[in-house]
Amino acid sequence: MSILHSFRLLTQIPCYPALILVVFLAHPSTAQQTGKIPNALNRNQPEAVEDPDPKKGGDPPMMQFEMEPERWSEMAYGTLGGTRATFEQSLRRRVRKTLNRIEQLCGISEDVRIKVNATADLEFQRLDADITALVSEAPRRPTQQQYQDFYQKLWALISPFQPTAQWGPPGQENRNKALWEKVLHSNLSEDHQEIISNDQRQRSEYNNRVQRLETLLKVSRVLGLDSKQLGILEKIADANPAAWISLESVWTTLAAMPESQQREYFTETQRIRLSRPLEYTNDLQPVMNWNQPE
Amino acid sequence: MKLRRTDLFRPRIATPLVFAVCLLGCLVVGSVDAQEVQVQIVGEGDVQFNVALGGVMAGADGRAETAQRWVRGFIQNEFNNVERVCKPSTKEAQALVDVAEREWKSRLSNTIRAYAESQNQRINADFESRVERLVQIWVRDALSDEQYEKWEQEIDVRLAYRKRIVIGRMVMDCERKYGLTHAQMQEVEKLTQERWKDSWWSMYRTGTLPETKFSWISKVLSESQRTAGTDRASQVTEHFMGGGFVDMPTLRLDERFKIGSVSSSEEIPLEKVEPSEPADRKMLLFEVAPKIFVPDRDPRR
Repeated sequence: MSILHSFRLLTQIPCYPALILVVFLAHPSTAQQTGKIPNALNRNQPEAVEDPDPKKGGDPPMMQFEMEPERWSEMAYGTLGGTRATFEQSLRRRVRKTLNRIEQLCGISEDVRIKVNATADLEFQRLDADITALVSEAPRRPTQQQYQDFYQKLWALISPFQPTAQWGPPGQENRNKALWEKVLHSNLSEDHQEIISNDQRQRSEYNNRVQRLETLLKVSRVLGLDSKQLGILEKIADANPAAWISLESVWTTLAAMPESQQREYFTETQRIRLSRPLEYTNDLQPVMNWNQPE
Repeated sequence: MKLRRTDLFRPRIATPLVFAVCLLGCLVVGSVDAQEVQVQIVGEGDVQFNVALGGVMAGADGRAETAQRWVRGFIQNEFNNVERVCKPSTKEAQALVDVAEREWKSRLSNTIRAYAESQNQRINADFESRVERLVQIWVRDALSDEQYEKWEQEIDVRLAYRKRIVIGRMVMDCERKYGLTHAQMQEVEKLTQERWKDSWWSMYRTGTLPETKFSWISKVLSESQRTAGTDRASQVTEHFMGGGFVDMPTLRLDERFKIGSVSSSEEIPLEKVEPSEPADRKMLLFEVAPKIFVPDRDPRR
């Protein structure tokens, strides 16, 4: 009786069915089932979707939304490591650090410092203006081909500012230098340039060595290497640094080693393990972002 | 004021109550795809529903088994090294594998649980160091002092490698942060080595680079580098990446520990490994019905 009584009371509340409806519609699961945000709660303005005209026979647009100039601009700065503000900040920081290092190595005059800083400032302003001008002409609903073509143009503009691995092998920087770097180098003597180049090579070697050691310890963890084997493999790693960049690459290299060599370095158990692939996981693994200078 | 049972049916109280119940209902319906639902017949005609929240408990058993395999793999690798370095007699080897087979699970339960119950599905347990310390204790208790000394030397070599890696990474971080020259990097390396702590390795293994304090290295920096050093935005970033190959050894739960030709005693029971569903198996509520197993015989008989 009490249940019936309660139902009678509840049905007398006029807002109750409306409340249930709102809660049901507002729930994400309902939205997922229908594939839409409920109209009652949708604050987005509907975008005009232009279907490609089949009579024209053109390629369909690549995406279902319009690429506003702001989106292209965000993409350009995103490629450079964040937003416009963070890129400006990181560019200044990079210039300052480079100058500080050169000052430490061979000294740098205040004039050169001012000149390089001013060039970097101007270069940033010019880049910003160029990006704004270019994205204003960007296709709003690009096809795959149009998107690629436009991205190429954008890339040509931003690639000199793309942060690359500072300690990669010298001479393998496949990017054009930024103007401030050119100005800096044109103001340095040949002797100073050689000192700087040597320092860069040594820093690069230091960093690569640490990376090799880390890969070596990963191999050791899987195979269970003893101290003697660690010493031998460290020498092998130093002789062939390219293969010791990652666990996967070195695993392939070691597995492909001639049998006689494998017998020399590894025990039978280790050789059997080496013949099997590495274990794969879907878990998250810690990564440190050391290869991307800001 | 005392509330009576009939007060619950008054509109002022019943409305929010019913509203809350409806809201809860909607939430349950919406989140059921993130749940793992297991149904099994436990007796004649009885059906047990075992609902566990996906991402938290889902696949915890599978993850525990993975952790156990890894832990056992590390122990076996250590034993392989013990055989080569300490050359134990058959009796000593037997004592060592027996104690390991008896104790490994209870002694490493925290590590296994830390991984199995990891809510964000990270490899955040330092299996290697835990196993290393435990095996060191077993070796100390089972082998002679001379053998133990050899084993300690072996561990020291490993620690030296780890130290080089962590300090190397810290120096690399400083290089990025302050714009160091190679000569400065070497000086920073020396200063950091003086402050080495063994716990840094565990920190590093679980995704955190130990911080090089500014005060430790400020004497190496030039005046302009010191000023740049106050820029907090130039620090190294650490993150977790999904998936990939793991640097973990593995030993099946039904495989015995071995040192050379000596295996753990047969009287020590091993875990039975039953084929289990993958850890990330997820099932929707409406999939439950066809999964119910109906026994052949008539339950009324």
